[in-house]
Order: sequence, then C-alpha cells, then structure tokens
Amino acid sequence: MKLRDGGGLFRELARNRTLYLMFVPIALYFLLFAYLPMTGIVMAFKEFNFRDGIWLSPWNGVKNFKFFFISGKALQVTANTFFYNFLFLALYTLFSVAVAIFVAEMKGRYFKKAAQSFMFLPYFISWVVVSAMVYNFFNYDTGTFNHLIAALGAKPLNLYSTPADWYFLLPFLYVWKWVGFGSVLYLAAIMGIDPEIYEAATIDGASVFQRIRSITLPSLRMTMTVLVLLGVGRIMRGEFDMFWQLIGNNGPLIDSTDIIDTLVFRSIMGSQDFAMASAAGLYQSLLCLAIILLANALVRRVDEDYALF
Amino acid sequence: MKRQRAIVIAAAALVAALAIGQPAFADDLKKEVKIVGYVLGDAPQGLPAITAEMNKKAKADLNVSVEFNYIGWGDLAAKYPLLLAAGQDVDWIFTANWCRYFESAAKGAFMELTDDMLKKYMPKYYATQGKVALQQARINGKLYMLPTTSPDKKVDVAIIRGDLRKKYGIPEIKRWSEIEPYLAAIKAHEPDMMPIYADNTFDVGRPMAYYEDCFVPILVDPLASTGSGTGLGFNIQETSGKLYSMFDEPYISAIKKSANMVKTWYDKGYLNKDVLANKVRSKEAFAQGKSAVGFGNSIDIQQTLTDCVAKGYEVEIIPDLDNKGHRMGDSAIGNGVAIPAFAKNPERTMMFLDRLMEDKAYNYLIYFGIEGKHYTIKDGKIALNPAISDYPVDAAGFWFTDKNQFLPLSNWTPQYAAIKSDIAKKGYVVDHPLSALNIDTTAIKNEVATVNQVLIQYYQSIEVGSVPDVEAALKSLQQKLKAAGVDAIQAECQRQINAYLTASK
Amino acid sequence: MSADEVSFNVLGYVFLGLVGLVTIYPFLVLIGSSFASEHELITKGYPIIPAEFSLKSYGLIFSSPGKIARAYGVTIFITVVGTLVSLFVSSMSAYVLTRRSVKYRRKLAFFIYFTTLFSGGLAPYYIVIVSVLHLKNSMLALLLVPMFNVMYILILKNYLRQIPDSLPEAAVIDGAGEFRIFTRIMLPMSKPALASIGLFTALIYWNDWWTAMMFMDREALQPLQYLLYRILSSVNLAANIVNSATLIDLPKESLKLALTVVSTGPILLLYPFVQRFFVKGVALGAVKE
Repeated sequence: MKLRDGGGLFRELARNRTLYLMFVPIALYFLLFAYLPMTGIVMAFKEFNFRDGIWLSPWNGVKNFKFFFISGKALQVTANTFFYNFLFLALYTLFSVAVAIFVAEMKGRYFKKAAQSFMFLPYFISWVVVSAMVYNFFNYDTGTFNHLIAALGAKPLNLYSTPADWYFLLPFLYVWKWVGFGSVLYLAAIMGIDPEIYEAATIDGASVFQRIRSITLPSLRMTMTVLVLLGVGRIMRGEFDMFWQLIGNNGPLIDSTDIIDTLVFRSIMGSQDFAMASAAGLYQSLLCLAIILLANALVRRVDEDYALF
Repeated sequence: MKRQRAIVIAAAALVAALAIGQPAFADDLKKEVKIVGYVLGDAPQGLPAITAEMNKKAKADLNVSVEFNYIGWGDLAAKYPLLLAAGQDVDWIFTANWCRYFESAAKGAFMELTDDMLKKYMPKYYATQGKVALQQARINGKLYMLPTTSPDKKVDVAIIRGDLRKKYGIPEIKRWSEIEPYLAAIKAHEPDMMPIYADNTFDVGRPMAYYEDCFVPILVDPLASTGSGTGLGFNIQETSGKLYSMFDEPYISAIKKSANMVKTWYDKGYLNKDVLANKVRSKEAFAQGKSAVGFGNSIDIQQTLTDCVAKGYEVEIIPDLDNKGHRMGDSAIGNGVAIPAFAKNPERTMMFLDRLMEDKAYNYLIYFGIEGKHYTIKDGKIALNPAISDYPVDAAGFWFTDKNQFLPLSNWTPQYAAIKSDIAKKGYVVDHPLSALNIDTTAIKNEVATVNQVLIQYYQSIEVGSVPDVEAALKSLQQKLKAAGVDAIQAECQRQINAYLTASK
Repeated sequence: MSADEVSFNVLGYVFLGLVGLVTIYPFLVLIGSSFASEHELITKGYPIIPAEFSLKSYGLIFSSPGKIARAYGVTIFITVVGTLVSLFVSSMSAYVLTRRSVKYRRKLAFFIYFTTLFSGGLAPYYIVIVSVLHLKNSMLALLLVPMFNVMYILILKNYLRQIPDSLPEAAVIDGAGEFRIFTRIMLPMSKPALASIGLFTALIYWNDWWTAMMFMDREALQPLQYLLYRILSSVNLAANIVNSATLIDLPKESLKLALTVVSTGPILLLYPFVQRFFVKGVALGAVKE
C-alpha cells in the first residue's frame, strides 16, 4: 500500500481532482490573505524602519521579546489569560448546551422564540457601550445599583477597586454576550438528529430527562468536541476589547485581570513598536500551537472523526 | 524546504512591489497632479464643498487637484504607521511631537527637507517661519517636518464655579493649593454635585499634579509622549538639563504632601471613587452641573465656557503653574506636516502646502469655510454663521496653518479672552532649551515599556488617593521602578540631553 | 403531559426566562437612554424611560438622510453577496475535508487551521492588501477581507461529517460527480448548519467597520457601521482634542447609545427567518422527500 501511494501525489490529485479543485478557492484565499502576510512574522526579530520595510529591516535577535519578560508579569498574565479563557469556555459551553436543549425540547413556541431572539441582542452592544452601562450601573458614587442597596441599608459595592467581584462579573458578561451564538450552533446539531429515535424512545416510556441523557447529549458530543477544541486553540488569546474597555488601566484590578493582550497594549501604547507587538503575538501563537497540537492528538486517539485535523 | 523557498519568493515579490520609484526634482506645472493629504479626525459634513472650492484655486494656481483624507482618532495609533509603511498615495500627512513625528522620522518614514527646497518651493512659508522652529524640528540636524508658523500658547487649567464660590463665602482662589475650602463647601451644600468628578484618561492625576506643581519647579518628563512617562524629568527653572527622579528632593516631599492631601479628598468624598473607570471628562460633567471642577487647557475649555454662559454658571479659571508661576511653553512642533519618504510629487506638494499654510485665501477657506456662507467678517472679528455647523472651526484637522493670520472670533467669552491675554502678558509660559527635545528610545525600548506599565499600575492609585498608605505605596513603587530599569532610562536620557544641549549651543 | 414533562417545562420557563430577561434588560435601557438628554445621562445615569426626552442624537445621525440611505445600501449589498459566496465556498471546502477518499484531508484542514494560530500582525496584512493585492478603496476589499472564517469552515465540516458516509458514496457509485453530490445532496441536508453559519457570517459583514476604516477612504462606498463609527469619533474629537476649541455642543453619551440602536435595527429581522430552519427533522426531511 505505502509503496504504491508513495509516488502518488499526482495520482491522488488525479483520482480526486474534482474534490481538490473544489478546495482551490479557499486554498488560494488563505495563501493570499493569510500566508503571504504571515511572512511578516520575521518582524518579531527585527528593528523595524520604514526605509527598509518589514522584510528587509535589520535583525535584532530576541530584543523585542525582552520587555515582556523583564516586566516580571509574564507568568502572571499568561496564567490569567489561560484561567479566564478556560472559565469562559466552560461556562459558555454549559450555558449554550442548556439553552439549546431547552429550546429544542420544551413547549411554548412563542416564548422560546422570543427568549432566543433576546439572546442575540448583546452581540450588537459593543464593549465600549457595555463598559459605559456597567459603569453607570455599578459606580460607587452615583451608580444605580448602589442607590438600590443603599435604600436597603446595605454597604455600597466598590466594584472598581475590588478584584474579587470581577472573577464573577467578567465570566457573566462573557456568557451574556455570546450565549445566543453558542446555543444556535448546538441547536443546529440537535436539529440534525432523526426525530424517529425520539419517538421510539417515547413509546418505550423514556422520560424527557432520560431522552436528553441518552439521545440528545450523546449526539451533541461531536459538535461539543469540535467547538471546545476550537476554543482551546485560542486559549492564549484574550478577549482584548472586553478587558480593555471594562478595566483598562485600573491599577488595583490589574494584577487579577490583566491578560497578555492588555499588558502588551499598555506597555507599548506610546511607542507603537510594530516589532514588539509582533514578538508578543508570536509568543501567544507558540503557546496556542503547543496546546492545540496536544489537545488534538488526545482527541484523535479517542476518535479520529472528532479531531480538528 | 519547499515551503521555505515559497516564503522567500513571496517576500521577494513583496519587496519588489514595495520598491517605488525615487522622486525626481523637476516640475514645471505642465502636468496636472493629484495631491492626497492625510489629517487627523473625521471629515466634516461640509468638506466636499470646501474641497471643490480649494480645487478651483489650486487648479488655477498650481495645476493640482487635491484630496483630503482623515485618520480617525480611535485609529490613529494603528493606521498612521501603516499608511507610511505601505507608502502609497500619501503626498503629505499631519505630524506633531505628540503625533508620531520623532518615531516616524527616526525610522525613515519622512522625506528630508532642505533649506534650498523650502526657499524654492515654499517662499512664503520660509519667510514667515522663524529659525527656532525649524531648529526644534530637526533630528540629528535634518529636517523632516514643516512646523506651524503659529504655535499654540496654552496652559493647563482648572475651572470652578465662581457663582457657588461666592455663595458659600469662599475667598477668591488664585492657586490650586487653595482649593480645599471650595471642595468642602460643595460637598456640604450641593448634594447633587461632586466636588471633583474626574475621568480616567485626561483628568486622572490632575488634582494631585496641580497641587504638587504649586510647591516645586515643574519637572518635564522627556518621555511623556510614550504613554505615562518615566517618573523622571528636567527642571524648567534650570537650563542645565539635569534629570531628577520623582524620588529626589524636593519632589518626593511635595509628592508625599500632595498625595496625602488627595487621599483626604478621596476619603472625604471630594473626589469620585471610580476615577479609573470613568470615561466622561470632568469638563463635560462641569458643563452639565455635575462636577464643581473641570480640567482642561486654556484652549479646549472654550466650548465649556460657552455652554456655561448659556446655563448661567459663572466660571473662574485657575491656571496650573509652578511655585514661581510658570510652565514650559509648547515647542513649535506641536502641529505640523510631513512628506512621506516615497512621495511621488514632493515639489508640487510643497508648493501647495505653501499656499495652504500661508496664503490668506487658502488658509481662511480651509479653516473657516466659505466666506459669506460659513462666516462673515464684521467689525474686525470673524462672525460664524449657522452654516458653520457643517464645517466646525478647528474640527477639520488643519491645525498647522498660520493662525496668526486670523482675526479674533466674535463669540469668545470674556474669560477665554482674559486667559489668552494673561498667557501673553503675565508670562505664564517660559521657554526652555529642551522644549523640543526628543529621545531616541531604540536602546531602552524594553525598559520604557516596562516602566510605563509600572507607573500606570502603581502610580495612578496614588494619584487618585485610593491607596491606604501613601508612604508604603511610594516605597513599593520606587522598588518596582528600579526593577523595571528606570536607572538605565535615566542614564540614557541624560546622555542624550547633554549631547542635545552641546549640539544646540 | 407527564409529571417529568411538566417539571422539565417549568425548569425551561424559569431558565430561558431568566436568560431572556438578563439579555433584553440592558437593551431596553439602551433604547430608553438613547432618547434621554445628555444632562440626564451625565447627572442621573441611564434610564429605561427618560425623564428629559431628547432626539438630539438621532437628529445628528440622520442629519444627512441621503448618506445614511446610501450606506445602508452598501451594507446590505456586501452582507448579501458576501454571505452567499462565503457560505457556498466554505461549505464546499468543508465537504472536501469530510470525504474519506481525499488522502490529504487532514493536511488540508491543518493548512487552513494553521492560519488561526500564526499571523504576521496588522502591518504586513495591511501592506499585502494595499500594495500587493491593490484592494485599497475597492469594494472587493469590503467583500474579501471578512469573507472566510476558519472556525466556521471547521464547524461546517463537523456538521457535514454527521451525514452518513454511505449517502455520498452510494451517489458516487450511481455515477454522480462530486460537485453534483455536494450541491444536490449535501447542501439540502445541512440546512440548519448553513442557516446558523450563514447568520453568523451575515452578522460579521453587517457589523464590520474595521475593513472600511482600514481600506476604504471613498465615502460613497463606506458601509453603515463605518459611517456611524465616524459620527461617533467626530464627536469624540470635539471632546478630546486638546488643541481644539470646537464650538458645537454635541451629545456624546447618548450618541453612543443611539448609534447602537440604529445599527442593530434591520438585521434583527434576519433572525426569525433563520429560526425557520430550526425545526426538528428539517435536515432529514430533505432526503426523504
């Protein structure tokens, strides 16, 4: 087998030429719009100047990486990035699946259609506006929330100097913003299940909960694996806009809420050094690569169909 | 191997695509050229009419057609260097010491402009422009920028409500250090107002910095434009250019005193608790009657002053000056224009810019719009017509033209006129040999980035008064700055300052 | 209804009700506050029902209705065309990745996935688009830049994977070409997946101001979101520029909110349309007909 396939690149291409041709447009797109600019990665090792441009500026070794590591915060922000994304991914998956199952299985057509439509609204509210609303609701001196609890005689909440509160608020806002999206993906998967299987189970006397446990959940496993793997592949990339708009430069919160992207942005805000940003990006890429290769290999070991590639 | 070769080929193709023809200096106006300029902000609604009018003039005078494009404020950091990196279709671009002039020029983004070129293509500009401004714009002896011939003279200010001050019997406040009784009176008597309602970008740190400035000579941070600076600075009352650290005397004492003062304000509720999260500037809150203090500078408070007249608020202005009543004047390179290194028609562009900046007809047109429609000249003043709303003054982004050619505006409030004349007459603003200093950060860029981050994280909490113990917080800040490499920055900056002073003698 | 169905439905009403409430409430505040005066927003916070009603922000946005209408046109055009092309090519590529007879399918999947891991950053991307592909100020930039998303291709691949291999294989034996199998069998069977990915792609096009900000200086071809973004940034300009003394009184806070309302508007109609495809068995029904 091996031998016959060995010289078989052309034979393989010939045998499946329609299929390979069908892949040409996307391959071309990614070559031009992704791989060509990707060569600019060399900038991470260069001292950029406009005269020579990105590809011909002089090399400067690993100097562009130094700021990130001498900051003394590399480990902390890497851990924060991982921790927040992990939490986001877990909660997002949990809520999306729950919403999808309820929407698919429960009665009340108009109710669930309305609820599902509402869930899409947060997508349209940019983080700038979310941050203005959160500030208005929670700020210490004039916030609505503090007026409310002051009326109840409780101690005012000092959100913007209490890191612990953000461990709750950030995941909450993340799920709030994205649950509409996630639930649609799982819902689409549920819609692919053959209704006859459900009918048969119902006739056999299975309860709703039993049907969900033994039919719906198992058939979501593949979609879930793929979506989680896709999430894992981005686990070192922070939701920059969210963190920057909500917290930005708020000193007391920085240690517990700073992610790689915000630290880098804050550090080179003034200098706008292309090359330093590129270096930090490369660091994130390498971590993501290692993590996704590992996760994908593990999944492939269990079932090849579930793996991303 | 194959992949590597593919990358090399792709890169080579790119490089070839990027290599654009060298400019040739020969121009006889026969060929019509299109000149594309980039300024900051957003195109005003009325711009097309102004561009059309400008095209008529420019076509007749110079055989050029013009196009003005905008780089939005939010996109400045990302888009500005990219336009220059791609190097296409940009004939001129706004630049300034606060708008990437040094970074871009040092990295080869701009064309060098010689005196001969200026004399030949920009005679009016060359005649009007002083030698000092051109000198300040030079980097290692080479000029890459056409600085404005009318630099702004402005001071930072705080504004307070004179009507309320009088109502509660507080004596006149000349300096920010005398502000406390006013804040206390507001807190006690005006439940719907905050004494100071500051934001997290512009106002943050000002209540403390203004206070500190009252007791010491102002320190000017040589790297202020890199974000939050370095905590180092030269003293504006000395010409030696010696760098002080914020932990040197007399500064550290003044900082402790001010930080403790601001902390008591914070604890007493004179200062909003969530400064670091608030995005509404105090001058906006001031105009809406929410804040009793507004921060700004003597130019940008003009709108607030006008709004307050409409609301019946009486406004008093407190300038932010040092212990001797001075601050350093802005350098001449606070507004200017540059020509990208690979521009195709530099000579015609310069000829056009000469008119735009120094020819009254062009200058009025680009700044105030069309006479009779947007403005009329009455009694030696410029009266703005309602049509100005589609071409607001100052909003079009042409701040580098010669503003000395303009008559006063008829809608300036008396306070605005007063602070303008005070700046001119009372000598608030002093010159300093280092006012146009620029530091090349290539050798220390990692340290600068780290120090920047440390100051934001640890100094801002001190500035807003939220730390529980000022002494301890300052001590820890000092250690963190040391660890971040502030000493290396000090040594390098001092070296460059000394070299700069030697060179400019 | 049996007891467990009752309890399941009660649970469902409570859960979806809560999630629905949490997601609709901020939007109601947003709409209400966009009609409030700047004074009310700054001094009293964001109301659901404004005490000081003001249309100033909407007046500012619609001050030149012609421009807004044209920008809507551009947005609708790129959203419709872009989504259709993207969906077709994405699902076609996804189909290739699912076919077991394609020996290099895993390498191909990795080839596109790799681009999500590494990128040269903004500067090289900008230069490639502007100086190599010459797409600056071209409608093609608005269509192509946001067109493909690796995540969506891989999600589509996963949905297509769930259709039993026997179907396309049987068709191959019957002599059908691969392209025909894809368009006649696979596409109709993946309606829910195409509907959801189509929705996401449409939303990306609809909300995209970044591409225009980077690559489109020609006002006539600027989409709605970028026009709105520019209105906001010009107002921020008035508030933030330290050298400027702009003499116009603009509602900065309420404008932010009104812009969200205006930009959300029409695209919401898309959702009920997509919901039609979320009915059980819609996918299988296609084959059984």
